[in-house]
Amino acid sequence: MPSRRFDQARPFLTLGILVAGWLIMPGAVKSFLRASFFELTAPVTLAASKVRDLQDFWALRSHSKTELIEAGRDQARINASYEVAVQQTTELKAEIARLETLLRLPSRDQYRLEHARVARRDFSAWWQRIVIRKGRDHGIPVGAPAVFSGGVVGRVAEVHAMTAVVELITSPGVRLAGVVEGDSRPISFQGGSNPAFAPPTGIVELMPLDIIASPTSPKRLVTSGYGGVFPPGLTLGTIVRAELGSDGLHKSGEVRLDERLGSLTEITVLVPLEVDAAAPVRSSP
Amino acid sequence: MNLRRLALLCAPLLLLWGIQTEVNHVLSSHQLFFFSGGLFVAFIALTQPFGAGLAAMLIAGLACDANAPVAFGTHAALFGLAHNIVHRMRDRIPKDDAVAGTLLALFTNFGLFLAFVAILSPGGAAPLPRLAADLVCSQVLVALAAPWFAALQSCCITLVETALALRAERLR
Repeated sequence: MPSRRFDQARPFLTLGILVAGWLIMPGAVKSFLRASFFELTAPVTLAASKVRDLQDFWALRSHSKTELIEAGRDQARINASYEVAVQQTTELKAEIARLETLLRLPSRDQYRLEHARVARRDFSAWWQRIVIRKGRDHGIPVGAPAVFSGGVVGRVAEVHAMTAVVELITSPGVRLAGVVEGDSRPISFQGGSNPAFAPPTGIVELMPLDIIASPTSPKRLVTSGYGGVFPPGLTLGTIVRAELGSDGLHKSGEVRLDERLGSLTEITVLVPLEVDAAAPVRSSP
Repeated sequence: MNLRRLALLCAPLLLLWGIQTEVNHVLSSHQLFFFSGGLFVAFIALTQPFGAGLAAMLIAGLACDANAPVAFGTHAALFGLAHNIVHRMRDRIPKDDAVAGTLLALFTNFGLFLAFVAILSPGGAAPLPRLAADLVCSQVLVALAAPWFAALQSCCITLVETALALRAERLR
């Protein structure tokens, strides 16, 4: 009878021994295994992403010439307005450089823009991440900020050979400092709950009492530039509700984030130039 | 343990992982999440020898762990535990019945999902309506995919068993 009982418990004993062995395994071995398993599955992610691109390509090929001509015309208009903006930016940059030289100020953080396709989106209740199709080969460092046309996407959490993982600002674990546009006092922003079939939201805390925000008069929340990761002035979202916090000294509220964060296909990683100078980078296609 | 058997057990699991990530990519615009842990575990635990089954579970679990921001080994340990539980009671479950297999995959998926909820949001940090929506979505998709995945795995197993039988015959 004891032998039969032991036979019944043997699978669990085997698993228990394996788990115990795993727990005492050195962290370096686990890190190596984690990286190996990620790289093992990376080709699946990349192949699926390329197939999706091919699908989009064939779908676009089916458009009529009239539609393409119309799209080209619209694109030309957008390009014209961007060209004006580029000229203005160049002038402003030259002005900033001149003032920095005159006042002997340290130069602002400078970044190289690395555009990357999104290979995979992975949004659960516990994490919100995307995998992009550029990694260490393109000089992307851990912690680099990622942006898109609507503002901040998040920051690079992991970098692998040909891919990188970006943790989105919608992720409940993300915290960063923001300011209300036109104000200089920092506010704590945190990724919030992301209910199904609804736009993502975040929460703000430690907001000064004089800031009033409501759905009818929302306030734009931008990055503060404190902390050294995100440059100042990038859009985080819109504060749509502000209520007195439990401590009575600050307000807390809700931030509505850009809906497009849920369907990103391309983002831009801001690679700090100091990092770039330290490591050789493969040229972007 | 035969390495060829292990490789052919892991191949459909890798395919399943790929499909799961693609489905999650599509569902992300609706803020939904598909968890298919039950499919990883159910059919292998029901039909395969203990050693090969557990090894395949641990490999699949580690592949899932490498792609999720959880402690490395969490999926592997939970898949291993679920595999052992199903393996322990598999004599009471009909192996060739598609309905029984699907129900087993659903129950296993439900159990694993609850285990992840307990591990990843111990203080109730994740909102319950979102978790409920994810669970319903996962269960529906698991129910739809289970018969196909069982057939795929059974084809792979037949393939490996035929290859092993031919090899044994040649050696004789």
